Amino acid sequence: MLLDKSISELSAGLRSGEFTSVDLVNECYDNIEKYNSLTNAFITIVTREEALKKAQDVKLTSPLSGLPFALKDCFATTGVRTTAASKVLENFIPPYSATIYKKLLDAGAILIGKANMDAWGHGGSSENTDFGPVKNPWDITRVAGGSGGGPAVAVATRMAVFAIGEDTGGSIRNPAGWTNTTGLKVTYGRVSRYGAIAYASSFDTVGPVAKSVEDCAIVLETIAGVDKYDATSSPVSVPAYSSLLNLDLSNVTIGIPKEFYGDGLDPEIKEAVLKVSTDLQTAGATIKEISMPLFDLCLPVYYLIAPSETSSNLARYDGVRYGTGRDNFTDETIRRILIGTYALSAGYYDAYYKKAQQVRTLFIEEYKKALSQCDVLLQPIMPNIPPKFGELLSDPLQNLLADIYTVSQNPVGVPSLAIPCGFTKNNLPIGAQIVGKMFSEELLLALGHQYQKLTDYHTQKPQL
Amino acid sequence: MSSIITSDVIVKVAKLARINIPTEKVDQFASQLEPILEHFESLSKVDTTNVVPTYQTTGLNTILREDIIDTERMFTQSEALSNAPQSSNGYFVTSATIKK
Repeated sequence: MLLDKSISELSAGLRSGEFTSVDLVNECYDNIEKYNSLTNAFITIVTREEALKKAQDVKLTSPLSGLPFALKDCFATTGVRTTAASKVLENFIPPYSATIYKKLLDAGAILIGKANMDAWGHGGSSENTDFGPVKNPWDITRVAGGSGGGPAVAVATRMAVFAIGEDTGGSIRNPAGWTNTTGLKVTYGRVSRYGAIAYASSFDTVGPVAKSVEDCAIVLETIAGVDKYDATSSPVSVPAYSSLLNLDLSNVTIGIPKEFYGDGLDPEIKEAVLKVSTDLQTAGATIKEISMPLFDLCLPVYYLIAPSETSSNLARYDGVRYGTGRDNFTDETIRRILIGTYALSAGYYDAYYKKAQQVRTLFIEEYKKALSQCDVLLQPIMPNIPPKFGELLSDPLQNLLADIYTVSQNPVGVPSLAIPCGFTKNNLPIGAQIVGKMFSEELLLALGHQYQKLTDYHTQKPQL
Repeated sequence: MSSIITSDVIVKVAKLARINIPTEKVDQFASQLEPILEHFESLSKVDTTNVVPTYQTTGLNTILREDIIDTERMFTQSEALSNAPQSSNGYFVTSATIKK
């Protein structure tokens, strides 16, 4: 299958004439026909004819030219319905485009669909969607993770070459880990958020999901950089990530924060994640156990600040200028709006919202201290294997607790790379995340690439 | 048992957030939010004396742009109204917000 190839192989094949963009687009749509009804990864699919027309006219000007991709349905796409997986926006056709979408179109990439997710990013299982849950292609009785279940499944099942997700508290990493794909939560500000439907504005990041670290590096090169339309986007220059993937592992110290491996972590997952460190150690890296004693507090910090910001961001959905109005929020979204409104309201602001922002400062210091003792931190992504449908949604507190390993990075702003690192005895994927200092994507990608040269987990795909 | 989130609190907060919660669901939301708010109580044990709150992590400050009209980012009137559930003579139609 052409879609099994890496972006650089596809790019080379298009240039040598071995195959055409039309072939790639057709293969994507053939896979969509086979797998989308089983997995429900897409909310809106661009017609095959429209995508083929773009493929016929494509000029090969960049490594992404002619490659079909999917966007999480939280990015504005002119003329293409954008729902954030909520009934509130079920008919919303944006009159403008997100910066990342424009950049990808300018690079010659071809949009084939808008992928399913938890509504507004509110969830870690892609069940909180008004368009039906996303199913995990490794076991369709289980969730695909979230909130970006759709983008991850689209890549895992080869319905797209790559996808773009948004990570506010694990929404790229969680589904990557549960579907055996590679995903990057970038440093806050590395990629423009303009045109991304906001969940929690000071945590939201936009990043790639793909089959390998190398593919993520190529996509990141295209989408990263300062944007005059996003005042929080960073002017820090964008390295040529994909040509900087060589790394002498003997120069790298990997920190193992012991609190991330305590009670509550599935033993099979713990073993697979720690094996990443021993594999890298065998290849020359240094391993160091460290401590992050504030770890347990990341959930209250995240789940006070994110709902506060979302209650403010979702205030705009009044059903007057666009959308169907506030009566169409799901219960999970209503819970988050209520928590946020409560935390921001008079009399509770200091005890909840301000307190959480103060502890956030302590977390930033905690990560700085941890990353002064090592170059990167190796952490699990999810404490459990993907649950069956309904298991998480039935208990709202458990639903939040499942996010424990992915919510501490966003309040701090640091980047994190999610990579496949094994399978359970029942053949469900396990992922690990490598977390680094602010703007250390170059190191994370190089280290992840070295790991993927040593292992072949990332090349496995589900048999549907 | 004293609760942090009573049904009255849900009703008050829902009103602030302009969310209509059917009466029969108020207790359900209260009982679901109670353990979550209890979980948050762990923060109160952390000493944050003299800790400055962090509201953003960009390290950027006061990003300015030139005070000029960006025609690339303007909507025509029909574009601006293109998603309105109801419009009339080039205006959005809303329900009345003041009583006669």
